[in-house]
Amino acid sequence: MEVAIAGVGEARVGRDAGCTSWELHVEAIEAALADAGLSISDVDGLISCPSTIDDHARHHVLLAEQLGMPLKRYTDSSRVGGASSTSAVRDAVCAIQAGMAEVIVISSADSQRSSVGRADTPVIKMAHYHSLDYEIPYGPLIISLYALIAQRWMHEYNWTPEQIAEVAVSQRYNASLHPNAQVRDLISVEDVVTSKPITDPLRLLNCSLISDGGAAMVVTSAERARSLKKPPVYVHGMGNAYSYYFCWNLPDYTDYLRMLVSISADAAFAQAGIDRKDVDLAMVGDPADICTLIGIEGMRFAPPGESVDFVQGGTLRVGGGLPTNTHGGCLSYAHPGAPGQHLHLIEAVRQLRGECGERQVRDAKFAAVHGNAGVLTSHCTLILGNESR
Amino acid sequence: MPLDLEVIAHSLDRPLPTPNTFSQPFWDGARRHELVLQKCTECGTVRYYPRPRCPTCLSGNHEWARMSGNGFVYSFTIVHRPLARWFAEKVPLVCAVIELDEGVRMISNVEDVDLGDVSIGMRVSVKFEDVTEEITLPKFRPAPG
Repeated sequence: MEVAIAGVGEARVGRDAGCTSWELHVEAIEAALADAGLSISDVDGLISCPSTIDDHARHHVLLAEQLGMPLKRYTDSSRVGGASSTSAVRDAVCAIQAGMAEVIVISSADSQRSSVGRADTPVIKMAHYHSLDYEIPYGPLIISLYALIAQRWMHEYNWTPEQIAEVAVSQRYNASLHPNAQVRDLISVEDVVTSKPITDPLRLLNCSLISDGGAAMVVTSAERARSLKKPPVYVHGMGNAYSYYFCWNLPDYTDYLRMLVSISADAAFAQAGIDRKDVDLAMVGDPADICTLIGIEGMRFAPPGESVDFVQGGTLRVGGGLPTNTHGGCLSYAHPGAPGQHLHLIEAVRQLRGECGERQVRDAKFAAVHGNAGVLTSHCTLILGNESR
Repeated sequence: MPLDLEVIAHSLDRPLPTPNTFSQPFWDGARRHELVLQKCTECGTVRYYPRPRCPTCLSGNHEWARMSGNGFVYSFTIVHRPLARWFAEKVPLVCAVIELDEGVRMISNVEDVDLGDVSIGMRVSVKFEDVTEEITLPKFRPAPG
């Protein structure tokens, strides 16, 4: 049975939502349902991607209660960090194909920026996902764990900060075309390599933003989706690879890490039955710019060690050879934690519907969406398309 | 007592580990200024962090073996921003992935070194910081010579 994304919605994405994550979840779900032309009474399944600020043991059940959804056939929480939403799409597709639900909503929301405004270091909220015994006593920011990977890649491939900076510059260009992006001013390579040092080799502009916001989507059978308000976006392929919890347990930071991305991508491409050259746009989870590069190599758009060459000259920009993170990604659109990569999925859906105005990728038929989590230890790739197969 | 993250963020208290039933011998070793890790008595694999099963052969049989304390910097980052208020006067600090000569990796700090002198491949040796009566943290410094 073919399954499709029938609606997408966002809630108060940006600097300060001014509300709890529960309201963001509810508003995002309402927006996604309205987009599909459905109401809450049409929904029989819910997958929540829990918030770091207001987590709960049965987050999905509590959210359903707040939604006014007392009876449902399928609920669960997706707990794969930044890859929660991409993994949740897989779960929704399987549940619908198994006949366990007909219309499933997936939501992600967090108020990481505003809710932690009273703390001197916002990232502390995320620290409990890392090791309080073997990491935190040594003082790494969460983004420092990505810096350790960036440092190793730069060492092994002789990459320079100037080469890598093109990722942030390109994604910012894309964000400049999106009216809702958190930051839209164009930046230069020079801006990136002279921005405030955060955790070497990562500077401020190499890192994702910290945001609030909610994101949701509606998944249903292709048949049902075709009867709804918006053109369906079909889930053609799915693949996953889960490895260690702590990134420093990976056997190595380059080949093994790239292989994990490839395992997930190869499975997704094989199921979709398309080649890399068929892909019109890519979405890659980007807690830091290095993740975009690793994702591009892992998905085999560029040979090992050559992604920095691949991205030069505007490849990732709208209008470039492989428009990537066309809304700006977590670096420039928004990064409310786990919802950050849900926003990548929403952008892919909007691109495939042709709704993106100035930043529209022309004749977009296929999008490759790569979700990653846990400092690049968990991976989920989806191939989306706008034609039934 | 588990760490309360709100407390970490606001207080000047230092975030410290909480030894558990698997890890107590590791922390006991650190208190004696010995780097002691689990070594599988079936296949010889050394593992860090302390866990109930061998990641290579899945055996639960192990001994606590003293490491040489020598290794090299597999990767590192110089952290400029404090994770919590306690670190405000400690940054910039070097947080590194250390690969021990016994083949396992750990996150730790490299200290007693000029920040500009830290590099991938640099040889390091373990040192110990006694923090409380219960907790001593293994850290690293450039290897002598």
